[in-house]
Amino acid sequence: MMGRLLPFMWCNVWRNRRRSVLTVLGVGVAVFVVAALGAAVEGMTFPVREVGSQELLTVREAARANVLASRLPASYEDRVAQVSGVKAATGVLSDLAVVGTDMAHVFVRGVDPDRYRQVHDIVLDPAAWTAFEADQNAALVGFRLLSRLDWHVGDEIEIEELRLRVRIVGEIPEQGVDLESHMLVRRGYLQVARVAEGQVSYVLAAPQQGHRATDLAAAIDEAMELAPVPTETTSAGAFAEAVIDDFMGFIDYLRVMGAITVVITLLAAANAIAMSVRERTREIGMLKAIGFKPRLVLSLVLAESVALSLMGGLLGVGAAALVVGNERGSMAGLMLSTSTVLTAVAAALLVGVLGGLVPARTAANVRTIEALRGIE
Amino acid sequence: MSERPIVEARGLVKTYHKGDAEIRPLNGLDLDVGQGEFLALMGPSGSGKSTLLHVIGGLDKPDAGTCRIGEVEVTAMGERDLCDFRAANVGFVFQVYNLVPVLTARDNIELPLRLLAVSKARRRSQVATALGMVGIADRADHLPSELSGGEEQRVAIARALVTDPQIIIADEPTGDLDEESSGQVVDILAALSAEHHKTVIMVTHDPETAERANRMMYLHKGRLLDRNPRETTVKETFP
Repeated sequence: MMGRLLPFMWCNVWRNRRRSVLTVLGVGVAVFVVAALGAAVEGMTFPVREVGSQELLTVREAARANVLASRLPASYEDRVAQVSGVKAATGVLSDLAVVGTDMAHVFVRGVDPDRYRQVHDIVLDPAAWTAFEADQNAALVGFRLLSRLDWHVGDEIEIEELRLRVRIVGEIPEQGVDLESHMLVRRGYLQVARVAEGQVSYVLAAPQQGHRATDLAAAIDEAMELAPVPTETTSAGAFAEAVIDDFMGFIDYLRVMGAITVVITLLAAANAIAMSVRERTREIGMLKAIGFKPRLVLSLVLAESVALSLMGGLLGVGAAALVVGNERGSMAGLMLSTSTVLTAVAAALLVGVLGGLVPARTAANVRTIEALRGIE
Repeated sequence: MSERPIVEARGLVKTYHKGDAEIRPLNGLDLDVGQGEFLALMGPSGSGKSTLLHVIGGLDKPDAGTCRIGEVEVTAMGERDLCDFRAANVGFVFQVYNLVPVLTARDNIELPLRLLAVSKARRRSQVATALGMVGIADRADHLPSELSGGEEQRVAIARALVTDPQIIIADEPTGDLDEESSGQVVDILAALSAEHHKTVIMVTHDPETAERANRMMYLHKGRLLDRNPRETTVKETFP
């Protein structure tokens, strides 16, 4: 039924062009804000979430929740590797620097090439890996970081904050795991630069096939119980959650701002639709008189509301793609993902449905003879 | 009226409350309207003419009594069935034309057919017939704002008859029109009755308009009379 009446519904959408355009723009701005805030949250949490997507275990100093502050003897990697069920283990020295005028965060991992590859499957150009193995000052850099900082393979770069001078020998391409926003350097070099010889931040362990990460974490902690530096083992997922928790206050703030924007738009859209319904009370009476059932009237008004909101949604998402989802946005640490786009469109849909619901119900429930007299 | 009436109302009662006052516009009203008849209902404002039309057209329920259209007792139907019944069997013409301002005359007339899921080809042909019957084929692609009041009312009549309904209910269809347009609209309603055998029940305040109908009835104290009770009073007072 609605299909045959879509042209009618579409004409109604543009009944008052100025109001409709303003409603679409209002929803568009709200969706843009939701998408931009989502892109900011995504950009902040992506690197750590990606870590959590792997079935790896992180063994860190029990007293330090922040992995960057954690310090363990490098020899722990051998002790962890001997635990039954562990396929391979490697110590990683991790650090963070703020680089460039736009204050890009660069996560640096000092790794032992041989051991790291046993733990971590990285899709990489073999020549790049060979070059990384051969040169103490070599670095592999995630493609996102390269793009963001306009670095290129072959560049020699200096990160003063970490007292590092490295040569980029390869790009870590897109591969659906972490590292896309990270930099890998040789562990020995980073240990010297950070005055942390013989130390690592944490040990990464890969479970043998058939061993569950959570069971293995408990087994590692038990095996390390008498170690001089107490350890705590978590799955990479739990580790990622813990890191994200640190950001959570700010992320929640951004989410609340997004929700407030959506609610304000919802009220504005509801008011616009309610005005539109009020203005055609007699006409709704006529429609019901000639046989439009209440449910059909409700559907028509809701469809108008959803159509307006979806147009605004597409406008907002399009604007977000132009403003946020480009290289500049990426350089500013924003990431417009598919899920953010879908969330923004869903917000528009929500505005359309909830904003139209009350006016639509009013239109559907008004008594026909009262509507014909112009009584709401 | 030898054949069975197409509209048969018996004992209709409708009561409203306005504050403490009880108003009973229909008080045991009976009415028979024959197939193809053009009936004019008259009466003072508030006498219940529109209430009667709403009950006959299935827009309102009486407190008591029954109303049958064709073989169907509309007063016994539920809201959903009434919607379907009205869509297929009753055409409405209102004083304010109630055209959709964003649709052309053609699209306004087509609207009830879309509701009845009529195919595109049949919609086109039925709309063309209806436009021809009310004589505004040349204005079909104009918006209501581009039409005169008389033309708008003719579009509304075309919308009412496009589904080939059993009855057409017209509530003061000339109330907002000038004399010339009123004449044209009543001509169309009379022709629908005389030439197309449509049953038309029209409420009007205008005696000249009412005289164009086959039959006039007056609503007085909730019942229908065959003659105007005021005229009777005057004649009886001054013979």
